[in-house]
Amino acid sequence: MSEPIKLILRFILFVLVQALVLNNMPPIHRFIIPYVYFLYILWLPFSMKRNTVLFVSFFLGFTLDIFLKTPGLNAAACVLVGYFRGFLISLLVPRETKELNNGSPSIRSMGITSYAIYIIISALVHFIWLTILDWMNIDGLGYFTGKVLLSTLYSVVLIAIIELLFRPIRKREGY
Amino acid sequence: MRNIFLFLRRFSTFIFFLLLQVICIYLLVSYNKSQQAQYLQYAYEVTGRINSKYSGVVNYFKLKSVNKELSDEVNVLANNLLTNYTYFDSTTNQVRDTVKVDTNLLVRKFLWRNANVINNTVAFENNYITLERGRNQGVKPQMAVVGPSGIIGIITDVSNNMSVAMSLLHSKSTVSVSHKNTGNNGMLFWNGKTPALLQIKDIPKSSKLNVGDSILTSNLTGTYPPGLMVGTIVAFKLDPSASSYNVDIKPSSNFNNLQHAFIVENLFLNEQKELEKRSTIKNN
Repeated sequence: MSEPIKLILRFILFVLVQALVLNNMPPIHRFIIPYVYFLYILWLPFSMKRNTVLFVSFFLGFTLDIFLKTPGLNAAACVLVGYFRGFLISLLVPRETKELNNGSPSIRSMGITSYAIYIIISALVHFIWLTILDWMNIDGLGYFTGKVLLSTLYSVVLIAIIELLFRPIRKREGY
Repeated sequence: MRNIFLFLRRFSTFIFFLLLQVICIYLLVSYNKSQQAQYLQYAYEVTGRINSKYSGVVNYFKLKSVNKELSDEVNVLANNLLTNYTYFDSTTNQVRDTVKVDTNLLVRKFLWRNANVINNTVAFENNYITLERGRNQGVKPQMAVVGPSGIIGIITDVSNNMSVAMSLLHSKSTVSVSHKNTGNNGMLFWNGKTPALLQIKDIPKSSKLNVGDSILTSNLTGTYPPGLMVGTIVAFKLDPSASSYNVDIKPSSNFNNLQHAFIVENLFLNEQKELEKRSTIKNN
C-alpha cells in the first residue's frame, strides 16, 4: 500500500479505537483513562515538515474532540505533542540515521532507549497539558501529579503492547 | 522590514504552533461558556451516526440487565392498572371511572417520549449522553431526560435526529430535589469525585434525615416532573457554616448501562418562564 493511504487509514483507525473502545472502557479509576491516539503523531515519517506535523496533530485532536464533545481540548494537547516531537527527534536521533532511513520513528530506527524516552516524554507532555486544560486550575498538586503520572504509565504500557503486536523489531519477509 | 521577514521565517513553526493553541483554547473556553455549540451540530450528526451503529453492537452485551429493568417497570405499571382494584362490597359493580380520563378537566402538563441512548460517558469531569431523537421528533433543549429507575439529565443540544443531554454527572448540573419524608428542598450537584455518589446542599438543619431515605425531584424544577426518584441517602453531615446538611446520595439510575430513556417535555415551561420574566421586570 502506498504511504499516504496507509497514513489515512491509520488515522481513521486510531480515532475510532480511541473514541469507541478506549474511552468507553470501564475505567480502572475515574481519572485514569487510557489514551493512545497521539501515537499516530509519533509514528509520522521523519521526512514530514514540522508545520505539516502541527496541522495533522491539530486535525487528529479535533476529530477526536468532536466524538468526545470537548472541542479544543485534545486538539491543544496534540498540537503540543506535535511541537515537541521535532525537538525530541533532533535530540535523540543521530543526523545520519534520519537521512539514511527514509522511515518513521520506531525501535528499529532509533534504538530501544531513545524510542522509550521519546514515547514517555511525549505522553507526559500530552497528559500535563490535557489535565491543565481539562481542570482549568491546579488545586491539589498531589491529585494532579497522580493523575498525570498514572495516566502516562497506563498509556505507555498500552503503547508497548501495541508496539509488540503490530511493529515487530525485526523486519519480516515480504512485510 | 527584511529582519521581520527573516524573523517570521525562522520562527514560522513556533508561530503556527501558537496560532493553533490559541484556536484550541478559544474553542474550549467558548464552548464551555455557552454549553450549546450550535456550530458543531452537523459534526455531531455524523459522529452520532457512527456511535449509533457501534452501540447497536454493544447493546447485545447488555440485553440481560436491560430486560430485567424493563420487566420490573412493566410490573410496576401493571400493578397500577385499574382492573387490579376491586370493592369490598360484592353488590356493587366495578365501573371504570371516566372522570379521571376526561380531557375537559385534565390538562396534560408533561409529555413523555422514549429514546434510545446511543452514546454515554461516565469517566470525565463533564459527562454527556447522546440520544437518538432530535429536532424532527420534537426534542428541544431544556427538556428532562429520565431513565427507567430515575432521572438522568437535561437536553442541552439538539440536531435533526440526535440530541445531547448533560448528565447528572456534569460539573454544571444542578437540580432542585426534595427529601421524601419531610418535603424539604435542597440542591443536587456533582463534585466530580466518583460517579457512584451525587451531592445535595442546602437541606435545612431542622429536617430529620436517615441513611436510606429517598430523594425525589421537587416541584420547583420546572423541567422535571415532581416526585420522580433521584436516589437514596448514603451519608449526611451538618455544615456548621451554613446551618444546613451536606448529603451524599446514591443515584437510583445506573449510569453505566443506560440504554433506554424518556425525554420529558414540560408543556407549560415557556408560559412559566415568560410570566416569571415579566414579573421580575415589573418589580425592578
